[in-house]
Amino acid sequence: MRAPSNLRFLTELPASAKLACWILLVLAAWFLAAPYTSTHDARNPDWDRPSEAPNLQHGHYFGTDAIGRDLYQRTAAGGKLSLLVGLTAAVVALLIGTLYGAIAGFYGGALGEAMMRLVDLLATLPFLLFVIFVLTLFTPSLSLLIVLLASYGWLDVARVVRVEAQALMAKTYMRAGEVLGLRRSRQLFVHLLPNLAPFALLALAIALPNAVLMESFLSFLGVSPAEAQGSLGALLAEGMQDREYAPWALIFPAVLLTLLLYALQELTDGLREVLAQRRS
Amino acid sequence: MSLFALANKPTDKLLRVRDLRLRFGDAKILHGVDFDLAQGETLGLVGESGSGKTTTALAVIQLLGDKARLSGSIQFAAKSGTVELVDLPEARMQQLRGREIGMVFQDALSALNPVRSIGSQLKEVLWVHQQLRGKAAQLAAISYLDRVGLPEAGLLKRYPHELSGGQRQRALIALALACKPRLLICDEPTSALDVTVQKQVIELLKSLRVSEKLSLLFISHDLALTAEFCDRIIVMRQGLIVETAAADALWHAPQAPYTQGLLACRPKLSGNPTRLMTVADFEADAVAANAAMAAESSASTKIASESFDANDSVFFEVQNLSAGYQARGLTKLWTPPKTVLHDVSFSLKRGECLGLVGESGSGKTTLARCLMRLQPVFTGSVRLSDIDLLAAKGDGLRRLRRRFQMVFQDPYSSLNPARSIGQTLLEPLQVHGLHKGAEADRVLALLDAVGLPESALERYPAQFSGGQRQRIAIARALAVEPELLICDECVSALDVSIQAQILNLLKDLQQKLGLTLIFISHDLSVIRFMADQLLILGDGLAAEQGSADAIFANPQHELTKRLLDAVPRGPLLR
Repeated sequence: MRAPSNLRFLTELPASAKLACWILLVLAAWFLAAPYTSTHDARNPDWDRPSEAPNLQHGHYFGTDAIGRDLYQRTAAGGKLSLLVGLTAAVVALLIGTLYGAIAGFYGGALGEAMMRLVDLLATLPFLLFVIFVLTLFTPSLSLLIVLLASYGWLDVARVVRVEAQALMAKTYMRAGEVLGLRRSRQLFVHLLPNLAPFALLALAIALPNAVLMESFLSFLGVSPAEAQGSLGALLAEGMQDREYAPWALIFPAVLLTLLLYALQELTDGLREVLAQRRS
Repeated sequence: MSLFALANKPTDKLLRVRDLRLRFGDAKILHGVDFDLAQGETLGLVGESGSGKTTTALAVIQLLGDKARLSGSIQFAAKSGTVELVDLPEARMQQLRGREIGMVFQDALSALNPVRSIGSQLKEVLWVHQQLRGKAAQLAAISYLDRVGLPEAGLLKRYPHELSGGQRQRALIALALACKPRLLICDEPTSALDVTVQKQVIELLKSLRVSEKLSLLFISHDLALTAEFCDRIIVMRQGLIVETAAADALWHAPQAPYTQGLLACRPKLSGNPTRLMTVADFEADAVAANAAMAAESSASTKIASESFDANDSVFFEVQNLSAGYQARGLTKLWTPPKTVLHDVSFSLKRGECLGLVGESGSGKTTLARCLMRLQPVFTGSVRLSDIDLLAAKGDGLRRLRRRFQMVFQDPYSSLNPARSIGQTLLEPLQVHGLHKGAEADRVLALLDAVGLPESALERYPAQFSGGQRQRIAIARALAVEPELLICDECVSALDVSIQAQILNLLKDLQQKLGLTLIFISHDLSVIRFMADQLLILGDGLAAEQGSADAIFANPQHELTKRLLDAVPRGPLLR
């Protein structure tokens, strides 16, 4: 007796979200296909041609950087890395934040208040100092970076979800569940959490672009473990240095980051809208 | 009413509606509506939900929104001459709205601006429509509030949430009057109010239509109220006019089968039938009606699994129950608890029904919540056969909940929107381990008992109307075969024809299974039909209690008399 799962809701998305879908699909296809579409790769420099402008004949479609690495390949690889890191971090933040916010809203009272004051306390920590502190203590790695981004992102998610959980707790169907003798765990997982989905998506709309941006920011500053692997932020930092004589090294990664952030924002916004409409 | 007709003899037509058709996309809402409204006339527009009565009114005031496709003709005799309202440019319509055609909405709380005082909202209208400012506006505002029976000047400074429901509705009427309209449209202006307050608002409208020379278009689902108040009545159904007649004629000799059904399926204060007629009884031929009756009674048998033997011992007993609200957290230390319910006692035998009556704020819902163990009790005891309900805790309470169930007032929020109807009805069976292996059959029997098709299983609450949702909620409560069922205004949101079906079903279950009922309602005619015992609450105290027959025949307490007096009974036979 389950609802048939389908992708029909995609047709109900607003036009801007459909456009965002296409942008993300094209970009994802490009990230995967890039290594096969030119003769160069992202790591080995073309020693003869440092800081070369975009040049179709040499196969450097986006030009090269200061030591001759192909920017077409580096931008694709950087975008893929940034998106994967951001997406993983946002999903982890979403899971933790939704569960935490739902529990705080479900139990309410002193426990709920205490849980949210803890969130407030964590949110006051200066994030950058915290990151630098953690990265000096532990061996930098991509998983550590994801943990760091998620540990920052879940705070906002928990706040949004908790407020909505409180509102849902006032709904009569929660009383009806109590009257039917449902266990509290069933009330929480079967009746409260599924109805929080639209709001969790709203939280994702904040957390996902934030995580991508934050990762780029950390790489730009040079404190991210992803910087050495050439994430978008690292490319932007290098592009900034050479912007006087090789502006292409800045422009292409910047355009890609903008496109990614725009598409993610529109898509999550659209999804939330469709879900909220279906439930009302 | 007759006096009024003599005073302002209807002369010419104020409103002339011809062949009014309305579509929203593919959905056809109105299929050719024709009616006239004479100057000074009070015209009632009656119908069940989805009949198109509110849509018709919104068409007259042109507030249907961009997606509406309206055709036909609505001619309105404005002060400056007759205007065709269909396809009238919005700028022109804005001049008519308010100062020529006013509207009073059902939900006064959301129709008033919550962040502005009543005075400032009234003065804004006086400035826009009568160019009054300062002292003059202040005086005019006080005079309009006085005219709607709100004499206190301090009211001007108050905000909508600080007023009672009746006061808000009066303030809304004052706002509409301040524009000096010729036609006032009232869309269910009293449906959200207590009967006693409803009576006051209706009396107000009666006096205003004389003193302000108003023509009224009065929309309501309540035929008795409309017949009492209006000169003529239009009965609508599914976007069509079924019958138009003078109020007296319609009430005493309805012509259309649908109108006859609507009148017959209302429970009445006089007499106490064992079964209510339904609209189907009148529309279908006798054979079909009998089949429907047979289906009704077999449906209740199907969901019964045990027989009950009636005996005279007390089955459910409440003694000296006091309850209310207590501050939470540290504030508890210096805030005294607020008692809402004082020392309520009653007892019921198996298969009896207690009617719980009172105005809003009298403690009806608090009592229900206490009995359901949804709210702590200050003192008192509650016993279900030989079990102390207040002593049960944790798992024991959860298992015990199978035996006492509740149907809530608001059908829109009582079902989880993320769960299909099948999942919703299956859940109580699974949780209590009932009908193992035959759950699906049981769910189908439940759906059948409340008159919903099998196809409902796969669908979600959003796809159902309020009435259908309430039937699903009733099926969910009946799923666990409770011995006690508390219904908190469970038919108040339903159309009379569906209400009759639900009441018949509950009465049937009560008689066949010995289901003990506590029936909360503000509608005394419904209580009359259902209740064996009566408990009338006033300010948390039992004002009067005892056998329903005795109280209805001979009410003792002032409150009971007032409540009974306020029930609309339709025009008297002359």
